[in-house]
Amino acid sequence: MNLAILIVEDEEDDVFFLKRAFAKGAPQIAVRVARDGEEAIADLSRVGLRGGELEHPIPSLVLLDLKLPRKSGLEVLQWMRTNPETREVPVIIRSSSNVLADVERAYELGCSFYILKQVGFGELHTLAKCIADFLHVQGRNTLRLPLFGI
Amino acid sequence: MKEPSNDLLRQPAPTDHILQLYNDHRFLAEAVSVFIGSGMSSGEGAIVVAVPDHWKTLAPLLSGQGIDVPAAQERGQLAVLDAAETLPGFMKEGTPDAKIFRQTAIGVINQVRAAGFAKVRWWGEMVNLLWEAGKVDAFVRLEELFTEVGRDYSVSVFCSVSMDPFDIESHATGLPGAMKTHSHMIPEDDGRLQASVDRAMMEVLGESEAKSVAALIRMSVHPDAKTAAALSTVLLLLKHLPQFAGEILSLAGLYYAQQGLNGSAK
Repeated sequence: MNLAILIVEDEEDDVFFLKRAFAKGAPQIAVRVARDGEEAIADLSRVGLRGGELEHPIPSLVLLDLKLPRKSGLEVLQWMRTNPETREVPVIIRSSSNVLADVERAYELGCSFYILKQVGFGELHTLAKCIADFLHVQGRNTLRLPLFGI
Repeated sequence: MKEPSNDLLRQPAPTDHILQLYNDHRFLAEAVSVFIGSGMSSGEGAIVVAVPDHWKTLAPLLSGQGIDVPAAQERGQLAVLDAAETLPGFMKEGTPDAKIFRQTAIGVINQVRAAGFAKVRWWGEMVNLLWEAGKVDAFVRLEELFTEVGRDYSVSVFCSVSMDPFDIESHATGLPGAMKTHSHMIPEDDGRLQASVDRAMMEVLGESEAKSVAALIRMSVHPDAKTAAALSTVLLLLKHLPQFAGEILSLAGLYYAQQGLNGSAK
């Protein structure tokens, strides 16, 4: 299974450590990066064009910061939900904002999880592994027989 | 019950609106006796709006806490109403009428306060009658009205609803509205539910994956009611892994029942 995620983050340090965390904790996942909201939308708009999905697949998940230059994370999320290609893509918000209005709006727009940024590589490593396992489970076939007793 | 939620039931904030999901009547009676009994023991007034069978179970539990129930009713500290008789009084065209409901609720609250009990707790199960009748919109509306009255009159409100935590239909229809209208949402036994769900997740998803999904759920912030951990897990499973939710919940239900028979959470 080809897995790719799109990290939308403007903080250089965060991008560096996130890429490192995925390289170490979930090397099977290809990581793309967008540095602002417009770049994220441009990346997601290219999906399916220029060589098709193998070259630029729909990301399996978008890890999205909220406070971004040019277009906010919430605007990106709103755009994704109105675009047929990206409507179903899981989005994890990773933000330093715990303002209730932001959290509520993100869930209204259909984010899967809203995670507060914490300091430390350990948190990012855990997050990368959790995302990898989550995507693995999501992509798994469910052809299991019903359980008869335990 | 040795549950963290007991602290919440003993000492709720004046405007808390707590919802407990139950499917075992013993848990219901014990939880309500904790909520009502601890309030009355510390001199608060209490309103109980119960179906007669549940009141018959609850009254001896209150007596067991040293409360003289008839005397408390006599002095106005405790008001007991029949849920099945009270509910139709404010229903109009299948939904609670806000004005009549407020008049009814405020009337009872003021009656207890007039007897000298400024702090008041309210436990009721009129919402459960609506839920059991399949009137989900009316159930949510009545919960909204209880939230408003609790907030406006500084009353702690505790509702109990007979809802199977392993029933996907309940989660899809009732829980989203319930989460929005309560300050806290608790199952009858959070520890047992969490242990059952964790075990089922490990079995269905695999150990590493189950731990990762659980970690993601724990990391995430939620704006809704302060939902007990196990219920949050169930709700997020339904949302994000719907293809596994049925199997996990069925299995968790079996483990939950087994633990109940064994008498302890593993």
